Amino acid sequence: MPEGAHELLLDGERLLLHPARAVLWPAAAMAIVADVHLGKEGVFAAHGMAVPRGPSRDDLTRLGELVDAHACTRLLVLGDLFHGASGVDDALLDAVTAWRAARPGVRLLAIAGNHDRPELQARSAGLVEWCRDDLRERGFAFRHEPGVVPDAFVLAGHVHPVCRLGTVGRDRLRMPVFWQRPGCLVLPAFGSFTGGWTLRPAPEDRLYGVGPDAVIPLKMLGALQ
Amino acid sequence: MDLTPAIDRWFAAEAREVLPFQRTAWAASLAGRSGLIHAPTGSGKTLATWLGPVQALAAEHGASRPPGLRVLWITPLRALAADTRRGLEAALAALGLDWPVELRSGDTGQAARARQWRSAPTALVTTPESLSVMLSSKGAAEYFARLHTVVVDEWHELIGGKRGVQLELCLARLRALAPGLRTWGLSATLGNLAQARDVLLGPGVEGELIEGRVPRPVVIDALLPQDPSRFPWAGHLGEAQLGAVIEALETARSTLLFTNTRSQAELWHAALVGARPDWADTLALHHGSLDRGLREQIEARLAAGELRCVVCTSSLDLGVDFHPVEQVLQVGSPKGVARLLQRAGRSGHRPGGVSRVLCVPTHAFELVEIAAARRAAGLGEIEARVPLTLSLDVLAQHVVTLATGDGMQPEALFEEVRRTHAFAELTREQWQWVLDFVTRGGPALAAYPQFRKVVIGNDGIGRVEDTRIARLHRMGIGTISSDPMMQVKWLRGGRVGTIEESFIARLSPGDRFLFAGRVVELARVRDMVAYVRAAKARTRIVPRWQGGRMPLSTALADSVLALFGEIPAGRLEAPELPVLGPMLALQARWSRLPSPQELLVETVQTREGHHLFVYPFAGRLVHEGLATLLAWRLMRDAPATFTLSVNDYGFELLSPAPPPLPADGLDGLLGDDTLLADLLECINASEIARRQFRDIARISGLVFQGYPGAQKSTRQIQASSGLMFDVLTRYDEGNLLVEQARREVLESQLEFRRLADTLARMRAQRTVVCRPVRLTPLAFPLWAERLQTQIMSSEDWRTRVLRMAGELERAADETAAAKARAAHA
Repeated sequence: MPEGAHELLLDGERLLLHPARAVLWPAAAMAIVADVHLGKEGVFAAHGMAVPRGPSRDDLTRLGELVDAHACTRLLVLGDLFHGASGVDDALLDAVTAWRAARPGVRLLAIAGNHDRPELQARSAGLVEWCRDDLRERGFAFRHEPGVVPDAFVLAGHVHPVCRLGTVGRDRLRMPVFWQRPGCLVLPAFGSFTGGWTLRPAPEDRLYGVGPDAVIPLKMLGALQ
Repeated sequence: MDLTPAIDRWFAAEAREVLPFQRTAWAASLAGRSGLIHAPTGSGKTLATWLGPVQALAAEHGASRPPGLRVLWITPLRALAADTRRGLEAALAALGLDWPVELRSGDTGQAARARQWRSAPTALVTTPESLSVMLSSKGAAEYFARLHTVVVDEWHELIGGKRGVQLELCLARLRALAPGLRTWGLSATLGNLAQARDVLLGPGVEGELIEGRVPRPVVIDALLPQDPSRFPWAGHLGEAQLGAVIEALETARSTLLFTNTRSQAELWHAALVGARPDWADTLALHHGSLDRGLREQIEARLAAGELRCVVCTSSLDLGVDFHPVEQVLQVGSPKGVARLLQRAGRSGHRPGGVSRVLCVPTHAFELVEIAAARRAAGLGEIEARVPLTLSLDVLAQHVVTLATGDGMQPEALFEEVRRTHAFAELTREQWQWVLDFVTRGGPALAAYPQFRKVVIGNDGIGRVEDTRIARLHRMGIGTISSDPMMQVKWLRGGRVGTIEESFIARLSPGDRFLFAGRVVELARVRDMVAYVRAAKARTRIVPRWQGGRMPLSTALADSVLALFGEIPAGRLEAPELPVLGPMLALQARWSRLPSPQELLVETVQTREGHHLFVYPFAGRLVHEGLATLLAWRLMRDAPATFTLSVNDYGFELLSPAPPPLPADGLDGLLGDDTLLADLLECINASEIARRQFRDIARISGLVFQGYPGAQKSTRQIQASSGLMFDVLTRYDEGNLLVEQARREVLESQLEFRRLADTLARMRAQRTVVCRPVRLTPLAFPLWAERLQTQIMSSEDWRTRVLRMAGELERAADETAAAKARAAHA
């Protein structure tokens, strides 16, 4: 098992929650991430907000390291691979092309998220295999927005879950989490220029906190907040 | 036309005399000079300023309307603008001049603005932000070209902050557009009036400093509890004082009851209504988060003498005279000498009146602060407001503002901004960085071909050509800090006010809270609007608005320390002393009294962990720096996690394990030979700079906040300033705005010089470590009012998460066990 990962058994399938904010599915040689938001800094720049270039390239590098280290043959993005049309310029598409060229044996699949507008899908059609929501494989349904699908366990993204641990006046930490609800696992956002939504877990939920080098299950959620 | 006879007739008809300072100001204005007038509210300073340019214009044009905009009147608060306009108009009417005076603020409608822009009034009353917006419009050069005088009202409110810097830049622009422009400022008393004048006029400009009528005497009283021995040193909100406050309200026709925060105002209003339901119709609430319509109704009723009491915050600190107000109460610490004097001045506006303020302490230490305020006021120790310099965020905004308007020529603009106090020392390198930031997206990112905020044309003029960017920029103009705000509306229609989004985010539908003097229940949240309905049940949940908390001023903190030094010697003769006695005795019994010769340190263990309290009495800002420094020096050698809290008397370091204190006490930690290097490392290791970056990111246009209801269309470009800080720190090492955040922390947050002085004083003191078994009277307020705690840690992430998870588990077990016991019982 990769260092720092946490093993999750779902209906007999073994998933690994990876500290890179990704899920590894060894039986299918698949890496799954959500909400990469490539080109976000470019969208800001197009609005006259001077955010430095860098996060998107870093995120591509990290995706490559993830796929290479675990010999994945497929990378599945659960929506919002891109942030917005104004931020996806030729330089960024060239970087994605180079990423693909360096890994001829790896398929790049992406579910169309709300940020992946049709125009973006068209421009990247030769680079990304765009899939509709509710992509099914074995017992899993892959979606962008969390939800419940009969007879399947859902893997989704969209909400960028984050949890706040600790109490006022004492030590506290805010961290991205894998958020497991009945029938559904929500992945943290993969992109390094993404914010988070602080969730309030229900008693039946389970959270797995993501730190710099480990994923740690967080118990006793009822006591949070 | 000579207006002197008309002015004399008018004053005579109203049985008033022209005051000497008014004549001085008029003469100076007529001679083409600029200056600053300081005088209390209601002393005739408006006329002293207004009638100068009016006489000059009448001399030139007679009674006929002078063409173009001639006088610009800038006021810091929108709420004051309407009243100011009435005052200016009344004077013109009395002198038989039919010249238009108009208003322009964020509330002015599109049509009215367009009309004002086409046909300028003779005088325009506006706010600093609206002035910036006007400068971002095409045709500004022509609009302001004939300006005769610009007046800055309540300059003391602006000078210490970034709004002041913004205004300095706008004034420099106006002077460039209208040569010979006279600048006049109006200010309440400040510790640095001459500097305030110099900053207003720009470096190297000679100007007048005119003192208005001698201020009325101010009497500062404290509402002493009837049974001193029972006075709570650990009390909450001083509601023990409710009865006495009601008695005080009975003695006056109309009272302003000031609190320090909006939350406190809500709670006091609820408490008063609860205690005296028969007063419900004559008790009102006024604070900055209430809908403007509601506030105006209350102001009108107050002016009409219909209200017994208005519970208010700084929203009623300034401006408008409410003649019926007979009494001013201040709940909680006065926080600053100038502020208390200003509030006291809200009563007794009638000529010859005495200003009186009755202070209502909410815990025992505030009695010390009241006595200290009285002492400082008597000695004339009034706070200075130090002007900011080199705020590159404001400069970047201003450059884009001008480029959005008529365009800006970089070389000329460099010379122009260097004629302000704020940017007199601006270097070429800094200027080039700001230019790159707005034209190319920063030096590190020449790679953005699509970056087009300001585009330098072939003619060398920089312009904003993209209309969408121009619109976003105009929406973002303004430098007042705030959280994203949410509108609050009744479910059945009608606006209530605005609340920080972060407060609403913590609530669920059905939760109740106090707002606008009512108990309301959250119904739902849609598109940045929180819909509420009225609820019956009582609640003490109050929105905690950001920015309401303020530190004790330096002048007041010094005065407190001086008082403490006088207590043991029995030299303190304040009426508050007998009340303080029992609390001081308790402090002495459980621990020790602070003194100028000793540095008091207390260590206490509670369920929360190990507390280390240190009391240097140096004011909150210095304590924040000291706490950070000490925590950093402690955890440098051994992994540890500290929660830092500060107040004006001292600071607390809380840790889950006993702090690794050196055997010889604190002495080894107080050295200053590596102070600057250590502080710089602290700033990087702590959350302070990241926090400071919040305003910088917004002002410089790095994050877009919009306004209530506007967020939907801009969702794609939402990012928190914290995230932005992390991205810049990582991907743009030389970013001057990040550097500015660190510099602001070092200069104004940590007050480097004061910190070094304080360390030196602490080293000279004998450290006394006490180990009381419970929180002492000095420690309690620090513990109870942990406002903005800061975490510093050198432990690794996994250790901290596992520890916190373990704590939560234990807490949950205890809750479960308690439930089980209850079920069995």
